[in-house]
Amino acid sequence: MIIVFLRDIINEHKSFGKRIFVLAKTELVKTYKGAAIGPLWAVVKPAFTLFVYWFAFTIGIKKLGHVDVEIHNHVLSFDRFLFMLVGFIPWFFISESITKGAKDIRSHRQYVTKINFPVSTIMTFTSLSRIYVHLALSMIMYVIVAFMWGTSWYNLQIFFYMPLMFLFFLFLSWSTAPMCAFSPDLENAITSIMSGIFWLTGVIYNSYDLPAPLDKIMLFNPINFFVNGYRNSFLYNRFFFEFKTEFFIFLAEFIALFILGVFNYNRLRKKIPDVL
Amino acid sequence: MSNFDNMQRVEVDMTSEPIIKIDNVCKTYTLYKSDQERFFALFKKPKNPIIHKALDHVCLEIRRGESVGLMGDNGCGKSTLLKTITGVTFPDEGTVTVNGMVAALLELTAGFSMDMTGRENIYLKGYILGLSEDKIKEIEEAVIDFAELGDYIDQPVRTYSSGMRVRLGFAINVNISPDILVIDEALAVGDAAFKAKCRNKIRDIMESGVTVLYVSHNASSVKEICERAVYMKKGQLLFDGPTEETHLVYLVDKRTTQIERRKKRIAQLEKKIADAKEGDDVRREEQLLPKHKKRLVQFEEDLAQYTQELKDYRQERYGDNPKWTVNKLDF
Repeated sequence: MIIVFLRDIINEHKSFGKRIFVLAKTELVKTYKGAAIGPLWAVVKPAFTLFVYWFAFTIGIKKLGHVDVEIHNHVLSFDRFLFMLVGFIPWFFISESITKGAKDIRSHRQYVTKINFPVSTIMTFTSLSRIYVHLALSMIMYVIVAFMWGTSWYNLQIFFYMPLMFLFFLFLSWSTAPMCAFSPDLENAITSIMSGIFWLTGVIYNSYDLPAPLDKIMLFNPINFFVNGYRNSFLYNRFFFEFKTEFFIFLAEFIALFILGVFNYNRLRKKIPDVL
Repeated sequence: MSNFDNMQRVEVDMTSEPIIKIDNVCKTYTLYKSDQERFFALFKKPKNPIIHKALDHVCLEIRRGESVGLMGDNGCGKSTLLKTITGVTFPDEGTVTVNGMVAALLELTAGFSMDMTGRENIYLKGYILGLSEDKIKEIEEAVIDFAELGDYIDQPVRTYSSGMRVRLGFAINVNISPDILVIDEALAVGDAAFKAKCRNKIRDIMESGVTVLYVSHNASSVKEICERAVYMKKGQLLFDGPTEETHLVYLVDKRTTQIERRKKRIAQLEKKIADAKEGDDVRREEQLLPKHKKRLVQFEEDLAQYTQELKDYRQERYGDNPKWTVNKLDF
């Protein structure tokens, strides 16, 4: 059944092909058009957020200037700024993807109720436009990391984590976007829990370094997988499969989310134009 | 209004595969009693939902090159039928097969991005409608030329007046060389000169053999554009035939229902007056009664006239053996 359902989504994408990329670009242009410094806002906003947190943690709470992480039974000590930077870069993408991804269909309602449009591609091209921004931010991050910490072959793992992150949150929006199209309640619910999710994720702090059983519970938060994954690639010099528990928990969640997304999208697709 | 006189219509091959085939299509809308109910409908079916039947077992076949008008009062299902053809909404039962590209002059400005320029929007809209970049490049000049936007084409669409936006939307939709053109009273675009230009363009498109579906409350414009028309009522397709005949059928049926309604009202009023006891105030009813009766007479005269016209038309066209594609009415 899942194959039949998936076929619809794949066909919608096939018929659209290259245009998805063009629409992703248009989406970016739409976001930043009309502002004098235009696309620079994509960097300014996260940079400011990062600065504020860094200020609060290093200058405000003086003791928190460093983070100690135990990797391979060695304790590595990181500058808080560097540690936060590598956590924040995926977080910016994730938080945008969750909140905006849920609104995707509602914010493109014209495409759904007025013309014949492959609806599932809306989520794809908006996700793509977000990953473009993420790619640019990652490059800036990489320059900083290279200067402050150095480079290594482990860095290449980003090409594993980034596509996986893209897919994971795309699959999430297959569930959330159609449901939010039905009722704005879910949209509001997601916006309200976002700051909670931020503090339950090891963006600023180290999620491994918590009193038991919290450190185990944190493994079930898929966002931690990505945040820690980026740190695996750039800071910890560790392969993604080395921490097996974390990896397999994530994999199970990934598959479950995928099935749920395909199921929800197909269940609601034909009803959306009538309720939007 | 004479743009469609002497139009060179293409020969329709009635034996060919239909370009649009609507086969026994049903569509119901669930009306939710509240936002809460709609929210819970996400997880389970609502218990006693209010159901509105928008399309009730509709069958329709349209062949390449035909021009078909849709007639009927508000809420008869015309728009829903068009939406199933354009692929926006999906039928609950039955199938809709469309063998070609549909351009809809329904929502002319749908998909525009206000912050982008007119030119960028031509591309955006083109992509959304499923055109390739080369194809859009090809039609770009024609669109700009047709929309008469001048220097405004490189300004953001939010600075346009509503007329300019509609003109741009119209220009894009008619220039993408569709196989099927769906028109929903969109001929009322811009000033008189532009209106005439639009009508000429539609005429050109029709002469090139494009199938046209036309919806309008203005019967004379339907007669002008379409050779064939269907009459819908309460989600059912009741009659399918030549535009002239369908229009008469529509008028006869409409007057018949109006007369029934009027008679019921008169009976109600008369009963109220007859049942009135000493001291009840029935002055208003007494005032209304002659008015209703007068309208009733008027309607009956109309009905007689339309029925006669229909009879004459049929006699002339079919002689003694009428042959209708669809006729669910008993006249």
